Amino acid sequence: MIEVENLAKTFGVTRAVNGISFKVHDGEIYGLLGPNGSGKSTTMKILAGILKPTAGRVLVDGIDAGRDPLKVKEIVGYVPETPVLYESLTPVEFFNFIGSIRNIPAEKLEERVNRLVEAFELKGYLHKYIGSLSFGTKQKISLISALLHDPRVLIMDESMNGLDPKSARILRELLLEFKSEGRSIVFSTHVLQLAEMICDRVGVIYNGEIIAEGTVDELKEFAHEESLEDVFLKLTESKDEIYTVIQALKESL
Amino acid sequence: MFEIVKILYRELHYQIVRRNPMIANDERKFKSQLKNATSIKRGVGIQAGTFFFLGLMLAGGVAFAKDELQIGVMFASYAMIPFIFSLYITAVNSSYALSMGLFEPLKALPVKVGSLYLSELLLIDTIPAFTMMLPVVFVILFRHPTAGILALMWAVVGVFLGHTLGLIIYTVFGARTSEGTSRFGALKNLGKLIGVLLFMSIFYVGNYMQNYVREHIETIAPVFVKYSFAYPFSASSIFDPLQSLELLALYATLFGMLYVLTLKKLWGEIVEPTVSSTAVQKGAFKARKLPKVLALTLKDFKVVFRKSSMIAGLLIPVYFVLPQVFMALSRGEFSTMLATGLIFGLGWFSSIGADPVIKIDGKELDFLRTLPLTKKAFILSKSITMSAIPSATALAVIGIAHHYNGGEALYLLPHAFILPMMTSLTAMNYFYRYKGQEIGIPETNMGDIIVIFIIVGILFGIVGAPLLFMHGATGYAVSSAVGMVITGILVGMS
Ligand SMILES: Nc1ncnc2c1ncn2[C@@H]1O[C@H](COP(=O)(O)OP(=O)(O)O)[C@@H](O)[C@H]1O
Ligand SMILES: [Mg+2]
Repeated sequence: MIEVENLAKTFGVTRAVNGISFKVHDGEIYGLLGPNGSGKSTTMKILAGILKPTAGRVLVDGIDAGRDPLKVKEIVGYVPETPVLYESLTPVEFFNFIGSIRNIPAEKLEERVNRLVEAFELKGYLHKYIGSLSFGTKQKISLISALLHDPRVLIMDESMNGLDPKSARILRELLLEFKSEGRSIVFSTHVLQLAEMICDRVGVIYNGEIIAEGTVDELKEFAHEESLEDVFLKLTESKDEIYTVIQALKESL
Repeated sequence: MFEIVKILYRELHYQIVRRNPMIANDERKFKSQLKNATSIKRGVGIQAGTFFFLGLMLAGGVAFAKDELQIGVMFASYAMIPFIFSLYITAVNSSYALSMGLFEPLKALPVKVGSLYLSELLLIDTIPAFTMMLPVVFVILFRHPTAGILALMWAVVGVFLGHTLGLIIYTVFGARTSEGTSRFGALKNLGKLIGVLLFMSIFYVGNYMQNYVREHIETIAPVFVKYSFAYPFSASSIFDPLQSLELLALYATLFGMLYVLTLKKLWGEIVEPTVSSTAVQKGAFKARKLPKVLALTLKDFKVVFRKSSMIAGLLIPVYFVLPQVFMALSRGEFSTMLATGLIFGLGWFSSIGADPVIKIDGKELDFLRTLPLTKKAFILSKSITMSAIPSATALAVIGIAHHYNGGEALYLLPHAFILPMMTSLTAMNYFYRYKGQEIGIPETNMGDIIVIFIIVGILFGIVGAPLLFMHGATGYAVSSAVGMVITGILVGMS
């Protein structure tokens, strides 16, 4: 369970997050949708105990992420927007490194890595330097490394974008399995179809504020639109703008 | 044509600077380095200037050499230096040029690209190696004109030999893209390490050889004459014009052919890379668990040994000890007192290693921050990483002292570990506790290093004091005990 109360974060003069509140219950998948620069990544980093909030509070399973980031990091799995991995290590060395830091028992680590490596078809890459792998493969490594300690809460920042359809499907199943086990999942994405498919609830974030929240159906009804894409564009005031841009493009061609 | 080479040069050096975490993580350094590195004139000019200066020092020896024989032998010893340098720089740069896909954007353009671009690009960076030989050549030219001209030709051939061999080594060992840990992986890392060490010790080795040659001229000369066909011994033939020219012609033809062939092969590799033909080990994942701190240190070392730019930084303390060791060895004595002094000096100088150690993790720190990692564990691991190479060097110094003086030198064993560890803990506590940094990359400047230097100096004074007042084993025992107490306090503070 995640509780976010009046959360705000400023970088110098930039107000990246501007007093947002939301809850993610156990066994729920929550989607954070918003255009670039709206504050998704900042919010998620605070949830994962990586950044300290400027104001407000985040409780992850009752632990204050701003006060006790180490405890939060122990129970959270965080997958960043772009994978940052040690490029000169191999996946085997990297997983072992994480296992040692997180104090994961050897048998457990072995069993989880082998299961996930099998699922994401990474077997042939285990002994290559991470730096030599493709973007999608790195993203899979990044994803696996966030799952090794069997996290109670999963936070994924646009982590599906580089995955091939098969892996995306496997990830989807994995998330559903997580959910059925009563864990909380927050993820942000640009792929609205995906959000439509698996999110129990979504929050639309814009300029650091949550401007709408609810199930996908509720949002459609609220905005009088057919698809989540239209809802999204309408809420973020981009719909008319896009029409103008397209018109201008057509005329210039 | 040269326009393209210029752009390739810029891109190559931009990437090298960007990928050097020691520079890329420091905005100011990054900008100034970039300005110099990406311009052929400036980049090559500055380096050529530095090497010319080093060359001046070498030329001193030749200027005062007493006869032709000595000049010839000396010149042959020096001829090794540009050879090694151009070999190393060629192997490293061709690996960069290929792994960075330098030629990719050109492939899509309607330009006729050829191996010539690659050749020019790689040759530009060997120019400094050549300028290093110029002062020596000038001195010889001044004293013996014919020999001087031959010396100049040998200098050119030496750089060219190194360049060609560098290409061959790279083509044979490292041209494959997408490499994993393989049988050759460790070998390659070792090669890199040796390369860096060689480069750093070039000057001292030169100095040492100069002294050695002067003292043992009678016994050495026959060896040089006997093997005069093999480079660099062949360079000692400069006072025998006919033989020298023959040898030069032989080398030029042979390596000219090899050069053309290798370049063709390398170019083929660029146009159509053979991807990962290394037999990658299959098989399930096997867990290998370590205590947190050691896992961090092990990770540091893997990263360092796989990035040659980082090894160079960590080896700086070794650099300070080398001349003393060479000098002692050429005098044939190495007292325990000297070893003690060296180990204290080594431990003290290892404060300089703080900068590279802090910068081992670059953007990967973003990853470390996602892990439940205490600052204490982080500080301890960095301290171990930082003290490992100085400790190993100290052990080597003890080994040498033991060889000359027997058991007495072994009293120093605890110091080999305590002193570098004290320095490292002081430095890391300073950056991450006193300056209050999060787990991250603190800004380091000369002022910080000097402050650390002073603190460590005081601590070493306390540890060293018992050695001044008590003799033999007692002194060393008390001194180690004091050192251990201080180390314990520093660990507690971290
Ligand atoms: N470390 C930082 N320093 C300064 N500004 C930042 C930093 N991180 C994010 N921002 C700013 O905060 C705003 C929100 O960024 P982010 O959370 O990354 O948005 P999103 O993930 O939705 O694209 C942007 O305006 C961004 O420029
Ligand atoms: Mg983002």
